[in-house]
Amino acid sequence: MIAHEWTRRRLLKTAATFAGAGILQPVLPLVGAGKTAEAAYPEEVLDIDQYTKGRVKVGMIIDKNNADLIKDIAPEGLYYELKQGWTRIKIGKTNPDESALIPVPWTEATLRNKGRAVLDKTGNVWDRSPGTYWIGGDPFPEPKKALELIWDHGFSIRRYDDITITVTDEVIDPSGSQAHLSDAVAYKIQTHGRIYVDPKPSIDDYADNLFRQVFTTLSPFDVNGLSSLSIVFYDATKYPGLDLYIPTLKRTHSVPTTQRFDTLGPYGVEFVSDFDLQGDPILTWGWTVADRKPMLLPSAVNLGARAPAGSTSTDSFVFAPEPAVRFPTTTWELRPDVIFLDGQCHIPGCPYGKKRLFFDLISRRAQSADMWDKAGKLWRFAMFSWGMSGIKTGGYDVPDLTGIEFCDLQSGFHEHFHFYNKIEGIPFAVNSGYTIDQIASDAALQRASRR
Amino acid sequence: MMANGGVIIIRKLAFVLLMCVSLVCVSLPCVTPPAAWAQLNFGPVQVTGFYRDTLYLSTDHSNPNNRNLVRNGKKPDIVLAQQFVDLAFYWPMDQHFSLLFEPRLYHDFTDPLESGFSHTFRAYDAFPREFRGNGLMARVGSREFMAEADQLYLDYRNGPLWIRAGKQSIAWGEAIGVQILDIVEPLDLTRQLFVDRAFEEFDTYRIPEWFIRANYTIPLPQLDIPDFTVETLVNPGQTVPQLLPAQGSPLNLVTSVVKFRERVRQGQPTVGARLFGTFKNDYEFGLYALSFPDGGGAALAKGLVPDKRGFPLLGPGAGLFRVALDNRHPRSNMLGWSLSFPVNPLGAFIRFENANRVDQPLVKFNRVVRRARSQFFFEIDRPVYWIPKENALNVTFNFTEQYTYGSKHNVTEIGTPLDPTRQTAVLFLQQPLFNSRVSLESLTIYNTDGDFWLQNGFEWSYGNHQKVDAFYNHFSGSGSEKRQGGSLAALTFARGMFFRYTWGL
Repeated sequence: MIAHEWTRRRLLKTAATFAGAGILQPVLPLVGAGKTAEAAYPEEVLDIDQYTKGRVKVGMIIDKNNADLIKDIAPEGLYYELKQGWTRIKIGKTNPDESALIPVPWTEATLRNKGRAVLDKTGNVWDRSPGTYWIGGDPFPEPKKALELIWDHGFSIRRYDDITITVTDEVIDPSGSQAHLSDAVAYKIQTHGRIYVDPKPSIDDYADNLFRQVFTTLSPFDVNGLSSLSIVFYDATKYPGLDLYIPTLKRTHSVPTTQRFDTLGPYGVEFVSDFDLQGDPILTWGWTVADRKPMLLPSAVNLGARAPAGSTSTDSFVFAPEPAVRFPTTTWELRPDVIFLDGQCHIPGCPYGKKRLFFDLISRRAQSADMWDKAGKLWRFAMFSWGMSGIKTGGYDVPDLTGIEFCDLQSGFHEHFHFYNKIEGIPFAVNSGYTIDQIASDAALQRASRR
Repeated sequence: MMANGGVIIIRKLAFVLLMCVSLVCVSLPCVTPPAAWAQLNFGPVQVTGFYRDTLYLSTDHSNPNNRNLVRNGKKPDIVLAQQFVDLAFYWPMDQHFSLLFEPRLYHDFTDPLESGFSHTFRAYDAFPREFRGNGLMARVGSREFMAEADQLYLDYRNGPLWIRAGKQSIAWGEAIGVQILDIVEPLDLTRQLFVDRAFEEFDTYRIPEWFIRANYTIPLPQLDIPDFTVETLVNPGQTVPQLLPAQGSPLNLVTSVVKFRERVRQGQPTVGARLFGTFKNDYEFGLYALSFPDGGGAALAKGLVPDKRGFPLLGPGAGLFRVALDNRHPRSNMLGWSLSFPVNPLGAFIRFENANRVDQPLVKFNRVVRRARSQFFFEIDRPVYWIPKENALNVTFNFTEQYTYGSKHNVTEIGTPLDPTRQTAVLFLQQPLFNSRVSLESLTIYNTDGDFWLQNGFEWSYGNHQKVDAFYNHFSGSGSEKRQGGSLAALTFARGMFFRYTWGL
């Protein structure tokens, strides 16, 4: 407990004038020197054994019987899941190396462009050269306020110029039975902050976009071929555009995008708003820092469906796909420097009273969130786990999302997404050099139609 | 009499048994756990599809169009009982080429099932396609069974170029469920008229034809239209009329005084082009031109034909006759445009659409005459969150004005005097509930002549593979009993409830 208090005081003192990660010294220069964040923190926040005075150890399995041991260092939603017996977790060793979660070229761009980003009076991010869009890397690697944190998280959540994602989506009902299963392929093209493939750093023809994302469902039968094109604008006060290709209509159709709080399909637990933990334009929410302390967050060992064949028989705590399991077992580790970023939604119809993102200052990304309803009752919990995909591009390892878990704590429904390196012959890929005309326009949506 | 009574009782028992089986099928999802798996794969070919049972129960009077064509004047209890299988075989050959084959199988058992109850109908063709050149539709079967290659096409994609060649369903325009610009292909109304679940629009009605369709994107950043696209389509000569239910079938639209015959001339090409794109990210526009043989056509009387189910049109004792009506499909040309954009302060999406037919075929003194016609369409979509923690209520309202230019004197359309101005308002509400497992839907179509169509019902998705829906269709309007074709109020015989059970891969 003494360690808890000491560290908490130090972190809060740092938080009062916080400028990025690090207690003993800033993290960023260490990363620039090719080191991990280890030297920036006292040992007791890098070792859960010391931090909890031996009550919690690396390798320990936490379930409903001993969940109270981690109550103070876990998101409320995770604690609730554990107490209900809906999941179990394993405690992993803290990994202070940000390259486990962030691609190396992106970190290099972050270091290269450090200090260049500015916010305008509306809160949009720009390069310091007047009228220049942000050029890539996290814009605020040493953030001084909440809005800068959320821009680091959301400017380019995947940290690639383009990405092809292959995913399955499974819903488990409150009885623990599989209620729905679908699979899909998605493409995302970043329009600004491009650092890998030409055109760099921007696609000028689509200058007022931030990114475009196409999501095509392959199964089950009633949504086979259903595609959506989301156009997220650079101006983060503006609602995205949304075009749908609906197989029964045989054409693309634009729809209102104020429906941020609709589920994606039958049985869905998640809202459109929940994707990437902050799926709405950043400035449609208001952000404040509520706390800063060491917390448990998903470990990079959670490789999900990409875990090597046979490895899950010896260690199943990797978010591996298992049929009809509410919340697959996962590994969580003590992250030394976590900010509680509270969001208040300004979108009409939003059912959330508050959303709390657990923002890891070392990787500058949130990986889990608690959400409360308007009555102030804890409602949902979400976990986004990141890890190595197992592929390389340009000589670098490619970390990416390995799994997503959405939990409706009030109804008991659970939904998980597993990411694969290939589905229906479509491979996972990054920086393929796609153009918007090929993949992510109204005409491209029609061209890709299957039925 | 006893024997007849016994047969009737047995038939009624058989009907009750069938109903029980149907109810068991419908309630099966309540008691069996849902299984879930993805679509099937055979090597590189991905297969998906579904099986559907439809049962449409009549709640109103007998169809006045079937006078003399049915066994008795009783109200039928069942107007449609069909099984339907839709399969899609998708073969992505490489990054440029893919092939889609979508066969459909239908089995109609309305007549056998109905015979166990009111015994109203004589045998009729449930899948009529009596016209020259119908082989191009790739349909085979009998009165009660039909198999078709609904879609069969090859795609070629290479950067901004896309070519789709083969039998394909083509939909144009912004308006959903209203045929303004969406007139490239005719509709097949033989199965359930146009009164199936409205939310699915024309998916099972539109008749795919053989087309070569190509589009090419030419970015115009200097005009702020980065996705400007040119599309052309050519059907080298297949002509398909709008297909109507057979005369004597439960949902027949043509009066029995008439013997309706399609007179189709093959070899008339359909050629179209559209330019579309997005201006300043928000404003989606389209410009359209189409030249095609009119699917609806113009029907001309061709004298009397003797018919044992006809009428004494030449006086008592002179025999029974019906009026032969030949429906021809002259060429028509259309120019139109569409525009849609969000209105963010209202949280709404607005759509406009306009089609202008310079030579709409109509009939005057039993000759085809041409009139210019314009249709204007306006729609607003606005989702509303009003039930805490549930999906938004989708509210769609649209209004269509149709105006026909020129002299209207003695001009007829679908056998009734031409109405030069027609206005139609549509309100569609959809409320998903319980994590989108249930969708409540309500459609109201009101025509300013005083006719309306209401369709209320729900769809329930159970697990991955099963859906159950139930909808009630109600048609009415001022003076509905006297109204003729082209009026919603003339469809009062189609009032009823339909149930569908769907099982899919």
